[in-house]
Amino acid sequence: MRGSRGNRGGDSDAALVAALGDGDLGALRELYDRHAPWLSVRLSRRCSDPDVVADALQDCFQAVWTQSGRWRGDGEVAAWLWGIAVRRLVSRLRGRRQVLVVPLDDSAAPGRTPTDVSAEERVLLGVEYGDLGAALGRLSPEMRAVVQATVLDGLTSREAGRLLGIPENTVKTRLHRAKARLREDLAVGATEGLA
Amino acid sequence: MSTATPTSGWHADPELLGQYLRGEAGAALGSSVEAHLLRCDTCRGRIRPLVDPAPLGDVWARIEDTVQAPRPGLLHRLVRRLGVPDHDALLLAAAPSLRAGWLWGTAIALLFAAVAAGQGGSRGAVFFLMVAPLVPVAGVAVSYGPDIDEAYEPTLAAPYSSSRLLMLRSLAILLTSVPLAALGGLLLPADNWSAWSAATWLLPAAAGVALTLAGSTWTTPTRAGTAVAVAWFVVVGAVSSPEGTTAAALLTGPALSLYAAVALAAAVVFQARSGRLAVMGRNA
Amino acid sequence: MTARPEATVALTGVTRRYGAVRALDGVDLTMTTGVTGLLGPNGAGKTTLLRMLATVLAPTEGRLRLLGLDPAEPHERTDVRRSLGYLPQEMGFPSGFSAFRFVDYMAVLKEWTEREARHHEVRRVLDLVGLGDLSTKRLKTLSGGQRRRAALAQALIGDPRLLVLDEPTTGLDPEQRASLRGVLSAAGGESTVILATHQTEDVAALCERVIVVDGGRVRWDGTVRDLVATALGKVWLADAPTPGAQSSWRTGTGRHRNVGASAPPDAELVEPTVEDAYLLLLGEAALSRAKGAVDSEVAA
Repeated sequence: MRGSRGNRGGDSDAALVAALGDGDLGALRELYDRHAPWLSVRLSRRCSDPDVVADALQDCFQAVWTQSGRWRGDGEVAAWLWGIAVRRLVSRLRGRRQVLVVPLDDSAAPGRTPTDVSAEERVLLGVEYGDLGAALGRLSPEMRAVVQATVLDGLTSREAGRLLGIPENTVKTRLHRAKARLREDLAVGATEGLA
Repeated sequence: MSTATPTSGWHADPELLGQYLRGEAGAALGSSVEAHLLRCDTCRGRIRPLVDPAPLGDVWARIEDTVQAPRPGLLHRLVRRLGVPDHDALLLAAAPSLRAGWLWGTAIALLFAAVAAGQGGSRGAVFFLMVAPLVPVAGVAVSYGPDIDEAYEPTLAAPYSSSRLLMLRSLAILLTSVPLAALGGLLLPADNWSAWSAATWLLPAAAGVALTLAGSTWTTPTRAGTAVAVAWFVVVGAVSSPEGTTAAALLTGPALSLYAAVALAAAVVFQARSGRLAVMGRNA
Repeated sequence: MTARPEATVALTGVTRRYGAVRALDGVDLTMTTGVTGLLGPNGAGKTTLLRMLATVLAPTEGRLRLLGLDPAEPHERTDVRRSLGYLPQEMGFPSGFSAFRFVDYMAVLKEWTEREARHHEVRRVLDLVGLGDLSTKRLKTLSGGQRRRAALAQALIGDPRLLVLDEPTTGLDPEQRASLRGVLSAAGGESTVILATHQTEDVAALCERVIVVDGGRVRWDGTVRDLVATALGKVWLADAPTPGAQSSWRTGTGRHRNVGASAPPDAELVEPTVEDAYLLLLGEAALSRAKGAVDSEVAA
């Protein structure tokens, strides 16, 4: 990467964000080094066009530079960064109907059913989402996509609509149905007792 | 696989992270990994070496460039529209006299003059007449020179022509102060003057600016501008009677031609002597 | 001894007057590629000389030849300026500018019209002086030494063939000085670098040649080694200042270093430094200046 890396490895994310307000470019670089990799991957799983992802990533960190004062110091910096990044992605997707948006589904992992889930993964699912994780897996791809966009990524219905390329009302309908399904599923699961 | 952390008690192993990166982790699992990454510094660190650094490096280069270079301001963009090349626009926008202080001072001076003009009838109009042409002159006077330019010496040592820089800065002055002054002129009461008069102060202003520029080939723009201002006050004072009626003479026919002639002559002198600006004068 | 390379800078009979005062008086000099130091007390004419080399000041009498061009002729002067970098003794910055914006501005003045190439060059020189990470901070918020480095950065734009530096090391701490030395010696390879300094250590560390000026006149023009050699046998240590020594001061070890035209017999002679030679030289120069004043009084 261009430029020399300074010795910022010891600084916490919060400290780096605070330094941005002073015009500390080295702090921005350290934040970028730490977070750009996972952000780019997560963005790529929402949009398959690498140029759009790159633009969104660029917009995100430029916004971080100018808006560092808005960070209130609560919660994880990573979550704050994701909020900015995904909204920048939505902005970049505005009016681009041809872009293939990748809703998460299981088609990339053929042959996997919930019962194939390994013990490790079950633990992982259990820890992050409890039974909700498995229930999510049983939703249809369209419903899962809106749940991910709104609940997990924190977008509004309108933003989710832009991201997924569907009307805002469709988002709301699918979300409503998804939540109903999940509630049903979890109620059933509670009585059956998932491992 | 499990390494204790304060937050969740486990980490994603490299196998799982690899699956996630390749898109093989499936929906719910992928979401779980993502939720975990929001909280776990260690796993974010593990993702880092698995991602291709080249595109990330390219994006960083663009970020750095945007962050370091200041965004072109309003004046810069305006001037570009007028056809001025980008690099000249940058110099123009950086002119010392475009500092907020100068702009505020100009605005206040003109407001004052316009208010006085509005209130005092012909007397007030004389006041406006005296002040308005001097605003661009004052701007040019503080636009250039060893006493103004903080980086005067290295600027002089650069190949960019000093006379061109002075003219660019004067242009910046004119672009900012003339509209402001014109605005003030519109506040003049219509009874004493025709609407035309509100704009005729531009000719004495042009003459004043040209004289200041020409004078700057002998001495600093500040001194030249001061001399022009003093001379102007003397002229207006001498011509104006207490009723202020003869002040109108300064804005009609023959006088206007005179201003134009002076402006032209001074411009020629400036052009001829502009080479003197390229080195330090006796003021060194 | 290899033949001396061609002169890149030549001054012939250069005089600069301010009213009755002669800031420079009949200066004849040549310089080549490499780093040349300019030593002299305050008011000696260093700044005046450097301003002439930087083409911002014209001589009252005499001629200059810079990089084979005549700075008295406007077109050639602009050509010299295209290959010139100048750091004045004192300078400020436009208010509100960051280091990047300022160096970018200076790069435009140096005719770097193409934006991307220019920004690349700005980054390069800022990294050279160690201001890479501070480039976005307002110069107002930086320390004096950091501001000085920003001023130096603009002089380095475009890798100039003639680099004129007036007191470049003021305000820098020892570590920064060391890295500056690295920058300058790299530049000195193909460029003509002239730097004025009060610090004889900078001359010793950086310069192959040195020019000593005093009272507007050149007192010495030669290699550093030769200058130091003039003090051989004229520097000694003693427990107390030796009467008759030209200068004498207490060193860190508690003993006294004495510099003088004639060392006492069986004095403890030591290896001379640039500073010793400089003192000896100026002592004599100060004497001859006094003599000159007397002579002109007699003549008048």
